[in-house]
Amino acid sequence: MERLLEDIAAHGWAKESREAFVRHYDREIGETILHLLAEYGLIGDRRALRSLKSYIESRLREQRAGPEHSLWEIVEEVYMSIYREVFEKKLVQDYVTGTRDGTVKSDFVGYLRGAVRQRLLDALGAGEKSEKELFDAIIDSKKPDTIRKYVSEAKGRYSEKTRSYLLCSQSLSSSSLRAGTDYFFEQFITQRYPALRANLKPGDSVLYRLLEAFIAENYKQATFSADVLSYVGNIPASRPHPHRWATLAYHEDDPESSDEEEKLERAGAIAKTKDWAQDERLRWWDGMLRCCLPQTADLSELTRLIAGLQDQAQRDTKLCLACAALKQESALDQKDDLRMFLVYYLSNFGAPAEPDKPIQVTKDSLCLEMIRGRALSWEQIFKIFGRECNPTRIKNKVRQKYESLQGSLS
Amino acid sequence: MSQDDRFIEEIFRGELEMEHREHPSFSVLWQYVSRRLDSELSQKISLHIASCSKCVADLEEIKSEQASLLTEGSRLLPDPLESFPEKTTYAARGRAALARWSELFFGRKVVLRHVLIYAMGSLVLFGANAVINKLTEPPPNPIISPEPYTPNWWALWPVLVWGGLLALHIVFIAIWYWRRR
Repeated sequence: MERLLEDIAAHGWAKESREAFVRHYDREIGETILHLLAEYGLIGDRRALRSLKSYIESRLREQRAGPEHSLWEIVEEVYMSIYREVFEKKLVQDYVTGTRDGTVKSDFVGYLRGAVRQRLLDALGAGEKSEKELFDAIIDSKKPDTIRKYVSEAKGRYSEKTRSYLLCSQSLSSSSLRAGTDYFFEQFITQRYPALRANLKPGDSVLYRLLEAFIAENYKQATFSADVLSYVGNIPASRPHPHRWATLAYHEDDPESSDEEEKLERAGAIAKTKDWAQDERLRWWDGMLRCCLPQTADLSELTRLIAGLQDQAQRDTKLCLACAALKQESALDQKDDLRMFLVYYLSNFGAPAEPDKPIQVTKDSLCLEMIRGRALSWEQIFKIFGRECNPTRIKNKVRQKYESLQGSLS
Repeated sequence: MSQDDRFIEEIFRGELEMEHREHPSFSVLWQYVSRRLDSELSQKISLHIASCSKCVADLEEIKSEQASLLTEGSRLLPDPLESFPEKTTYAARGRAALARWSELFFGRKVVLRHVLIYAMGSLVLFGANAVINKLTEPPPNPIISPEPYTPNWWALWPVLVWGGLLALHIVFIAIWYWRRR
C-alpha cells in the first residue's frame, strides 16, 4: 500500500497530504468519470463527444459561466462528490482499514474507480445489480413479467458488449448479428445458464462464459444455426435506470459513422474478405504473434477446417497450419524466428502501408493490430527482438513444413 | 526475388484486410482506447481492428479527441483543494503533533537510533551523577570522626524508566515484523 495513504489514515489530512493526493489521483478521477459516461452510453457517439468538447472550449475561451451542459453538470457533480467523500468522509481511511482486514482486495486505483462508478450511478438516480446478480435474477425469477424485465435490463446493459464479442468472433451481417444477440438474451440465457452456473469458477465473467458456450453451440462454418438466424427478438432493451438517465441524450446509431462508411464503400476503399476461413487464420496469426503455444487438439481442428476448403483458401490456411505446427515443434529461439517471419510478412503485405504511424512495437506486446501497415524491415524487426536471425532459413523451414503437410493432407 | 518469396508474399497479401459489415460501437472503441475493457473482449476488438481500416481510422480519431477532452476538461473542473478547504481544530493539531513526536521517537525506522541515544543518554546521566557525587562528597575532617558517606545514584531511576520504554519499543517492532511475515 502506498505510504501516502497510510499516512493519511494514521494522521488525517495535512496540507502536504491533500496536495499530494490531488497530484496523484486527480487525473484518474477525471478520466474515470469520462470513461464511465462513455461506458454507460452517455457519450455514445462522436456528436455527443463534440458537443461536450465545444461546450468546454467555449467555457474556457469566454472564462464565464454560460448555459449549463447536462453531461458536464454530471461530470462536475460526480467529481465534487468523490472529493467530498475523500476529504470530508473517510474513503481513504476505509480503504486502508479494509486492506488491513483483508476485506478490500483491489489496489487503491481500482477502489477509487469503484467509488466513482457508485457516485455516478447515485448522480443518475440509480442503483445497480452486479453482472452475476442480474443473470441470476433472470433464471431465478418465476413470473414471466419479471423475467422479461430482467432480460430487458440485461439487453440494455450488455447488448453492446455482446454485439462486439460476436462481431469480433466472426464477421456477420447486421441482421444475423441482431438475431444472434436477441436469441442469446431471450432464449439462450434462460435455457443454458442454470447448467453453466454450477460450473462457474470464482472470478469468471458470466457474460463471457455464456457467450463462449453460445458460439460453441450455435456457430458453425461462419454462420449461426438456422434457429438463431430465424429468431426475431420481442423484448426491447431498456436503459437500466429511468430518472436522470432518461433526460440525457443517448444515441444508438452514429449517423456520421454510417455516412462515412457509405463514402468509403463508394470509393471502393472497403476491402473484400479473401475467404471465410480468413477469420480463423487471423486468430491463429494473432495467437502466434502473442506467443500462445498451439495445442494439438487445435491443430487437428485446423486440419479438419482445411479439408473443407478449396483452392487459395486451402493453400493459405495450410501455410497457417504449417507455421502453427512449426511453432509447436520448435525450440524457444526458433519460435522467436518464426514470430519475426510473421511480423515481416504480415506488416509488409497484410494491409496497405500506413507510413505516418509511429513505430511503437515491442517484443512482449506484439499483436496483429500493432504491426498492421507498419511495413517493418528485417533490421527493424531484429531491433524489436533484440537479436538477429536468418530470414532465408526460416522461409525454407516454413516452405518445407508446408510441402510436408501438402503430402500428408492430400 | 525467389519463387519461395513470391509464394509466401502472395499468401500474406491482403491477409489483414477484411470486409466487416459491422463494427464495434463508439463506446466500446472508447473503452478500448482507455484500456478499460475486460481482457477477453479487448483481445477480440484488437483482432477486429487489425483487419479493419475503418476502425483503425476511428481509433486514431477517438484517441486524439479523448486526450484533448481530458486535458481541457481538467482545466474547467473546480479546484478540489479550494472547494474543500482544510479543516484544522486545536484537537486535530494536538493529535497531529503527538503523532509526529511519537513517530520521531517510537517509529519503526528509529529503533536503532533509540538504542543508541539510550546508551549515550545513560552514559551521560551516570557520568553526571558520578561527577556530582564526587563534588558533594564531604571533605575529611580530622577533628570529628567522619560519618560513612553513601553516594546518591539518582541517575538509576530515569535510566530504568527509559530502559522500560526502550524494551516496549523493541517488543512493538518485533510484533510488527512478525505480523508482516
